[in-house]
Amino acid sequence: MTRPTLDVIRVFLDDPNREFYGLELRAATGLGNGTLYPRLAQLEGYGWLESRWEYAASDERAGRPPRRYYHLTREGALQARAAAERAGRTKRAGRTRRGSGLRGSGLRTEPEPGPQGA
Amino acid sequence: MDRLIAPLLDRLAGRLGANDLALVQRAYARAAERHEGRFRHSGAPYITHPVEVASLVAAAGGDPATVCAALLHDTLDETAFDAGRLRAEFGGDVSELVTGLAELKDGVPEAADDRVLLLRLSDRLHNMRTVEYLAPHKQRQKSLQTLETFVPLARRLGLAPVAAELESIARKRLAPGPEFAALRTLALILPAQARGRYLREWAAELAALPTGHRAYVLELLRGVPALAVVLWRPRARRLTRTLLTTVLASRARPWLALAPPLTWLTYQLARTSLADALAFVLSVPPALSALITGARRRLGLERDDDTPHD
Repeated sequence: MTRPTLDVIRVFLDDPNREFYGLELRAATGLGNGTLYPRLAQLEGYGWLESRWEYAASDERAGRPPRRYYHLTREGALQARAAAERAGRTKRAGRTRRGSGLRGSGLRTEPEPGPQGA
Repeated sequence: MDRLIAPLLDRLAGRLGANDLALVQRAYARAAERHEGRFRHSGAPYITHPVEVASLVAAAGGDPATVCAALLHDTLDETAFDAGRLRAEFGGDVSELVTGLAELKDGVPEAADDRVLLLRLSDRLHNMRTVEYLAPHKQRQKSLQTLETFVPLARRLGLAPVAAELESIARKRLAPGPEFAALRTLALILPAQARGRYLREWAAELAALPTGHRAYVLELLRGVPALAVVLWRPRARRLTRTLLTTVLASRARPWLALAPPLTWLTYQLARTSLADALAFVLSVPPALSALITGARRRLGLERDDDTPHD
């Protein structure tokens, strides 16, 4: 599983019942949309994500074209959590590269010490 | 200068009494004086804006106080011309409308006097009519806000033509640019069923994006080939599977295709060495047979009763 894919599933895992649209995911992952959409399509292909159009009648969108919302499937939540855990383990065990994992995702909770020390 | 206000006065002449017309004229004079030396982004004298707004209010059937308030709507300031002076000159009704509008200015017009909302709407309509003089990102911001807030407001106030005009101006400003046309072309490499969906999805995101429109599309252009690979992969797999299932439908079918070249090869080998031909016949067909059986098993065409599952 590639890092961008992990970035995407981690956003969903942070709030598994929430639906996100593209711009929100772009902001949350820090990925460019040229990277984001292929990852989303891949995860939809796995059946981990599903997407739907925003309901046409919803008042709050008045005049705006409908958004495409993505959400985790139940199967996707299980699989994604397992994948994220596996990735977390290999990262702790193996990687020492600076800025590995969640660079730019806004999800990192504690700063990782760089090789040159703080 | 008075020719600016003349068309409005003409329009109101049939509807208003002499006193109200005089009030409108005084409001115009005061506004013209307050805006002296100020200009719109378009370069026109600022006073043209309140006059246009007042005309829109009048056309929508606004009362004299609202027309006056439209003329005076940008004149307030804390020092030289405050709400007290406005009230002294034009009365409580006009001054309350102007201050009501000023308070509303950046808020969402929800619960307010319908006359204040009419002022706000007319103000926005004229600003949208001249929106092309603003910076591109401002144009997008204003257009988004117009679609989300002012078009529904116009409908709520029963002003369908205003709603339609606002919507058409805003949509034109938000319409995807030439980069999007490039994206539409590149999207031809996506599977047909997915193409429309992604283009709609991206257009919607673009419409919601206040700035960085071009960068967003360029970044998407970069990603379309990768998206095409992801979307075509399962289809390619299905196609291969269909093809193989057809070719391997029965055990005999692949042999129909393989028998002639195998026979020809055996014949060629036999012409130089019978031993080679014999070795070929004893090794190649069984190997191919095992391959075919394996492939048929993987495709689920062959039950493997005698191979126990673990």
